[in-house]
Parts: sequence; structure tokens; C-alpha cells
Amino acid sequence: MKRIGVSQLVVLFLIALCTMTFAQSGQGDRISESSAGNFFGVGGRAVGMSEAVVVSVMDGTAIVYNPAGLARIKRPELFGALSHERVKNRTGFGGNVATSDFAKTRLNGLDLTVPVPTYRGSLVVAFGVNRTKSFDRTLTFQSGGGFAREEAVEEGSGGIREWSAAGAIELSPRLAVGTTLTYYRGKENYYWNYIYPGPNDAPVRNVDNTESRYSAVGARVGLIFEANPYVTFGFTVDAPTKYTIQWDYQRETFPPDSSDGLYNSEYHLTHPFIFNLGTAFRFKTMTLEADVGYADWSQLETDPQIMVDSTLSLNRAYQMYFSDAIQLRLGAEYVVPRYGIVLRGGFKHDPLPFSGVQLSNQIEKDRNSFSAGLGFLIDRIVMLDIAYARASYTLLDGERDVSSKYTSDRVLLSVGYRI
Amino acid sequence: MTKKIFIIGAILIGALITIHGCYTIIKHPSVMQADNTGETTEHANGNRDCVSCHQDYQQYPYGYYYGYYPSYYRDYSRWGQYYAYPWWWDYYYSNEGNSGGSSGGQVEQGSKPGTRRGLEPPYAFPSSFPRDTLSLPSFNTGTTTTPVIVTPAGGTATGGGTVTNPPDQPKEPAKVEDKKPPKRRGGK
Repeated sequence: MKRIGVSQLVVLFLIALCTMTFAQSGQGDRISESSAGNFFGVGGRAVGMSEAVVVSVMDGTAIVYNPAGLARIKRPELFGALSHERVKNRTGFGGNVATSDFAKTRLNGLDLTVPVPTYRGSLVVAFGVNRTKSFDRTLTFQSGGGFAREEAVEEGSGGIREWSAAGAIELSPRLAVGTTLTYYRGKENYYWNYIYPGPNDAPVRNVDNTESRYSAVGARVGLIFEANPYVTFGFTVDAPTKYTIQWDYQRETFPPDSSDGLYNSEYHLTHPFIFNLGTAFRFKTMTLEADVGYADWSQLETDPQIMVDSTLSLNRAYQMYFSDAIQLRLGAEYVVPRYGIVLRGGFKHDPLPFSGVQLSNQIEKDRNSFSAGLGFLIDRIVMLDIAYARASYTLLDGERDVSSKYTSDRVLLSVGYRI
Repeated sequence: MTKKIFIIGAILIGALITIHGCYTIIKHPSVMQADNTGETTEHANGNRDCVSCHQDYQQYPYGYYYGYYPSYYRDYSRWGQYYAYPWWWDYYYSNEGNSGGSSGGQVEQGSKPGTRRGLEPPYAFPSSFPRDTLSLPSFNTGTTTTPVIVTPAGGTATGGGTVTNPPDQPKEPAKVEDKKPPKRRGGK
């Protein structure tokens, strides 16, 4: 295995970018970063409301959505959630349509929330691990037959978990604040198998396996303010997070190429501030919430500086090819108190953080998702939540007129037990 | 650098709140003696008979949430118990047999009741809990808050505390959500 320095990293980045990201474009100039965006919902209640819960979060997932919401929890809670996701891809290329899919069932969250006895107000601490980013995706494409046949399989899997400690306190009867300190940890396994016509139309095959390990420390603060019985506001800020990315890359070519081998390196990637603002309206047993999230992903920054080519740094490429993303989330919850049942639904506009400058990376249809969910309050101590969410988007490689539709179907099952 | 500033800022705010104190109180304030001497004594942790000092306890129960709860938390106790009933109330709960009045009932300390009663706090009896009188207590920020002291007779108190007479007659329960924003006590 080769240990490489920054200068060699430049070359490797060129190689990797050629192959890691939808390499059929030939020029391989697509710049991608899996950890930008790709938020994965936590908990059945939140996902059932399309994660429009910055204000109305009521369980241990407040660690993730708004730590100030922990102040509402009055009984010790053990919260656990499982997620099942099927990712699909359907790509049209050269008159052919190819599809691929796979499914993963994972631990979505595990949280312990403990309210401290108070004479007045509320003081709550919580600990948990939650999977908040998913790298799961797949892509398959193949052109028509003949000597100039091209085909590829791409699979990414993994994600990032937040290991968190959080606390919340009421500063007045209407105002609560909270903070979460998080250790981010996760990895992405990436596989790329690409066959294309080489010299004299002889097929050439590239096989790449990349493992990227992410770790970082971050902080999140939140606030919830109840203006009146019907309207509540919430706000969160995630501090910029500096990830350390350890990168192992195995490159194979058939027939063999001189650049084949094993490589590894390490660099830092700083994520920008992430803001979330929400308003919830409550009337009798109905809650409606609208949230807006904002992150400027063009501010992604590597350390040390990495050059994509002799004139373009990766940071400059992020500025050019990435953009800010304004997320809109709408959620509704209707409680049928007599029967202990909750009905939920939601919509999320979750734009991809691409500027559209790259011809090979055009957004044909931006990412939207719909969700529905059910909750059951069982015997006064258990809340069982089930949610389903479907998200989809379509990317267009304008260089080759390749259109790829990505779909994600998620089922969340979570249980909260309050002693 | 920005992250460091952010984290340091959050820690400083937390420290200020902790040092200076705030609305949330986790330790009973020192109790002003009712003999005009101005002396204070530490509240005994073992003394859980809140009503012996706080006759207005049913109006401002210990640990009660003064925000806005939806009415179904009260109307259907399972919701109130899951979302709103502080766990430590279980250990301050009075026996069901305490129907002898609105204050001073027998308390079985340290025991967990077999069933819980929605949002009704300990020492507040179903027949007498004046739910529609629940309102924001007068509070200050800081740890030097003078406790509310109400004499057993409900008439006078000394030491700078606020005096409140408990209501003579309990009223019919009302939905907190339907109330208008409550007033603070003490003429504020």
C-alpha cells in the first residue's frame, strides 16, 4: 500500500474523480462530495412529517432536530429506531434503459433522554447515536451492443452517525434552549466497474474500490419559543464541521495499467453552517409545521488545498460547481386522542447542492419527497411510530444525453419507551 | 476558527446561565424565616410536604409546565401521562385516600402509584384541583429568588415573599389551551 502526499493526492484526485463520479462522461470532470447534503431522517415521527419537526419535535430525536425540544420531555425515555431503505436507479443511455437497486436495513437511532427533577422549569440531558447521512446509492447504465459497448455499475453505501450528548433548559415558561455536542463518524464504500472501448475498440475495464472514513466534532444549538397556544417558533444552527477523511483507494485496470495499485491519504473537509428555522401551528389535535433549512455547500473547503488540475483547486471547484441549498419541509400531524392514534404526512423539497454549471451534472428534476406515517400510543408508556417516505430526483449528463433517475423508498420504525 | 468561536460561545452562554441562574430551578431556594429576622435556612431535601409551606401549591405545583399544552393532554390522560407528567411526581404522589382537603393530606413518600392521574400534580386532589387557576407564577431570574411563602392560615407571610391566599372553592376544570395568556402574580 502506498502512502501518498499532497502532491500525489492531486494526481489521485484526478484519477478518482474520473472514476468515482459517473465516469461515463469520459472527461470525468464531475465533482462530487457525498457528505454534502444527503441528510437521512431519524425516527418514525420525524420522517412521517418529512422532518418538519424543528419546532414540534417531541422525542429523543430532538438531539438531531432541535436540542431545545428535549426540554419538553418529562419522563426518562429510551428511544430506538430502525430504517429500511431501497435505493433504485433507472438510466437511459444510447437508447437502452438499465435499472438497478439494493436495500439496506440499519439501526437508525438509539437515544436515552433523562429529565432532571426541577422545582420550576425544565432541565433535560440526552445521549444518543443517530444515523443522519446516507451514502447509499446505485447506478447502472449500458449502451447498445457492438464493439463500442459501454456499461458500468456504481454502488455507494454507508453513512455518517452522530454520537451525541445534549442538554436543554427552559429559560422562561415559553422559551427553551438546547445544545448538542456531536462526534461524527462514518464511512463510504464506493464501487465502480466500468467497461468501455479502448484502442481498436478492445474493451477496457476499470474497477475501483474506495473506502472513505469520516470523523469530526461538531456542535448544534437550538431554540424554541411558544408565542401563544397556537404558534411556536424554532431555530437551530449547526456550527461548521471539520471532517477528517481517511481515504483508501484500490485501482485495477484490465488490461493492467501502470497506475493500478493501492493508495491512501488523509485530508480535512470543512462543512459550512447549517441553519433551520420553523413555525408550528397547533389547533386542537392538529399540528402543522413549516421549516426552512439553509446550507451553502459552495463553501466546502479542503485542507490542505487540493488541485484538480494545474489551475483549478478543489475549493474553487466547490465554489463553481456547488451551490447553496434551501430546503423546504412541510409536515402535518393529526392526533385521534380517544384511540391513541396519530396520522402524519409531509412533503420535502430537498434540492441537490449542485449549481448546474457542469454540463455533465445537470439537475433534470430536483429532489423532492413525500411521506406518511402512523403513531400508536400504547398503554401510556410506549409510542410506536411507522413512517414511509419516497424521494426521487433525476440527473442529466448533458455531454452524453444520459438521464438517470434515482429513487429512495424508506420505511422507518421507531419505539419510544417512557418509564 | 469559526467552529471554535461557536463552541466557546455556547459554553459561555451555558456557564452564564448556570452561574447566574435562570427560570429553571433544580434546587429549592433558601427559605426565609417567618419571624422578621431576615434569616434564611436551607430547605430540607427530605421535606416533600410542599403544602406545609406553599398553600398555593395547587395553583403553582412543583415541576408543573407553564407552557401551552394541547387540551387533549388533559381530556385523555394517556397523552398527558406520556408527554407531560414529570416522572418525579410519582414519588411525591399522595394516596388515593387523601380526600380530606386541599392541603396537608397524608403523603406516601417514595412510593410509585399504581396508576397516574393525567396532569394532576401530587398534593392536588381530583375534587379540589383548581385547574382553571393554573397560571404563570411570579418568577425572577437568578438563584436569589425569594420563595413564595404562605402561612398555614393563608393570610400573612414575612420575609419579602409573595403572599397568596389559596382559593376558597375549587372551580371546574378548564382547558389550559383555551385560556388567555395568564397574568403574573404579585401585581406585576
